[in-house]
Amino acid sequence: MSFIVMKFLSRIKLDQIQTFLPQTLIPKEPKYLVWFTGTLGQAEWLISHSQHLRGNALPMSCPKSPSDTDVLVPWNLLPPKIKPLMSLEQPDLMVTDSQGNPLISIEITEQQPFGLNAQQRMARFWSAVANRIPSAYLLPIEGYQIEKATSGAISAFNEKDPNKRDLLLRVAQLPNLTLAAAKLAGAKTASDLEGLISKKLIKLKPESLKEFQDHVDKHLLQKGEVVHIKEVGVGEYLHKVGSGYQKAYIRKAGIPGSMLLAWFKTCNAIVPSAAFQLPISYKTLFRSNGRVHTLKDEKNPHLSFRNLPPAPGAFPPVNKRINADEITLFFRMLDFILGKETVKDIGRDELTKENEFYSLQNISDQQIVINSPQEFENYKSADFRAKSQTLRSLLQQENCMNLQELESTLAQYSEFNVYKIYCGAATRSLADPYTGALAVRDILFTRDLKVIGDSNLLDFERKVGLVFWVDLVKEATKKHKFLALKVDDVYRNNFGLNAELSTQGKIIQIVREMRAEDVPKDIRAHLLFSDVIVVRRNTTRNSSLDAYLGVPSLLREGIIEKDAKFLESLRV
Amino acid sequence: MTDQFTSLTEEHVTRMLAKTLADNGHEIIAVHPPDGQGPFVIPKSKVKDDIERSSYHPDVVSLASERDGRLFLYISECKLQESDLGSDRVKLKQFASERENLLYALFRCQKYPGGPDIGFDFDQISKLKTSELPIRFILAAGASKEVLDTNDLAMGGFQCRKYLFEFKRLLSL
Repeated sequence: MSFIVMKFLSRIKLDQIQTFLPQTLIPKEPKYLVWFTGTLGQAEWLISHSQHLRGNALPMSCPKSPSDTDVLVPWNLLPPKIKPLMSLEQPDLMVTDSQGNPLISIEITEQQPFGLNAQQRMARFWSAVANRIPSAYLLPIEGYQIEKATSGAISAFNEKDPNKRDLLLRVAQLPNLTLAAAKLAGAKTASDLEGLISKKLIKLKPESLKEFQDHVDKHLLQKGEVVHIKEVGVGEYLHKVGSGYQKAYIRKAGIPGSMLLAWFKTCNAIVPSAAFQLPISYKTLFRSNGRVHTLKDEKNPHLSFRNLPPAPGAFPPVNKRINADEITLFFRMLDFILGKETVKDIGRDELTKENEFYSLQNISDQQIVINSPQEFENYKSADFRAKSQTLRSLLQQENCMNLQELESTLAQYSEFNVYKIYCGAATRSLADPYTGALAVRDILFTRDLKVIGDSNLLDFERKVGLVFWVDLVKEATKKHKFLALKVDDVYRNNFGLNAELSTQGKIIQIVREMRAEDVPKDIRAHLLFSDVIVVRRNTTRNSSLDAYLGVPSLLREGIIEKDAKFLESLRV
Repeated sequence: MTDQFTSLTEEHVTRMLAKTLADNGHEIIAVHPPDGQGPFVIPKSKVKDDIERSSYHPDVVSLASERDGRLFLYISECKLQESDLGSDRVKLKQFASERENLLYALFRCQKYPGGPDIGFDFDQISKLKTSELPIRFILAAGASKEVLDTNDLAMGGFQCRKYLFEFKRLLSL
């Protein structure tokens, strides 16, 4: 019987390790381990296509939390150095050497960043960046979406004259284009329109024209050094499916994707961090929203039929200059890192260039600048950029009882990013997507980006303060446990009853004495990233407001030390 | 299932079914591994008895033509053991009972310019009566004795085939 011996675990029988890898690829003395919390298939895909991992690595099932016991290596026996990468959230894949030293953290998702879910996974990357461990994210930055059509497109679809119908549908597909503008240019059919577009004979107001032309160049004419996905054909744009209508369209990176790409561009100044576009093919538009997979792999039959990304080289490049496809570039980055080489040109500059997949304008649009407390009520959920004085006035206006305790923090910064959310359901967890959303805000909205390359993220040296503001409404007003009741539960379960100690006091003890992974996820990242956490309970007649200091403020004020257990547990 | 097969998982059955179908002329459209993300998603029209999620992700989706050239869409569900197939039968029966689900699945497998070589003319398919829609179902599981491609109980009037793969052969994957 063969064993592998690891420093962190006495020994594991080779046949205990579940794998579809062929015997020829199973090393008796592995140089690397690929820890997975996603699917075994992803780990084996990684091993099979990496020069360094192939034949030298084993897939290891990883627990998703300290209470997950249905795995070969339970949490308490995990290599101590990978735990900090898993304390906030658990990455899909982590590659370590045979002694459990982390080398890279990887996420693979078919979900396009959209709405609140877009940043859900970002705390996993934050843990890697904070520990200067490289990270890579494979995802559809832009992709096809199929969903119920809206009334405007449906009425175009139901036009009886086929020429007119196609023209109407093409107009509906292109941003800012109106039928009047198309007709004014002389278009009677969709084909006329395309001719006019390619000759740049469509006249629109300058601000509308910019977005229109950008879309046309990228998706209709597919010009440029970066190849964007092809616009959906007019005949495929809309379909009547049963009693409803379905629309197939391009979903661009938008604000969530912009924030995500800006994150990688920023963090790459600290440690190699990159996002890669998962291949999208027009051929599989309807079958899988354009996602493509390894179906039958003749060279690696163990990867066949497992819904895995394609092999390197199977699809055309996105970045024409570097002339290699995104999967090849992803593996190039991985192998540079595993080979302890500097990550050389992997073509990210073009992909993260302003206005290619995202715009900085998109990111700044995310923050609403407010100059008075009243403006704060104009949006139910948003990021607000407020002067410290405005925030103080707002807290005063809401009768914040412990404003005095916050004064030092309010004085520390001239500005705050107030991330405001609302919750109306008593049992809704505030874990996802806020764990990731706070990690994104920490990097993009609070740090001094000029010096971020030299900074230690866990020291929380910020230029702008971060406030997590929760409005609990409807049934959540009285019943939701965030934050005080949840802190009470955690405190009682770990330290026993203490009716005398305030919620703030309990938070301090939790941070001083508990590891991050032992603090429930629905308060964990909130305590870590927020200078101030505000909970406003709105009732129809009045509202109450509680505010607490989080780790960055407690650390800065010397109330907790850098070696507080919570912070230590996040350090490799 | 004896101790020597405890390392088997549902993924062994899913992969073996996809491989067997591909070897027998099916074009595999999608494979949905346990715990993974499904590429072939059919939104549920209305939640009655929640089957699994707010959308339906078949384990294997494939296309195959009959000898007479008629193309069929095959929707397959897998379990590690035959005795566990009951819930999949219920799931498929419920799926087959709604024309909207069936049409949506066929819509996803249509032919179009620039699209796949094999697929349906969706406009034509949409005109067919529900009972005439070209859809078939497959149930697959591991078993002590291999029995491939046998008739199973019809699902809402649609043919259902059953594949039982010998545990020993599943281990060879």
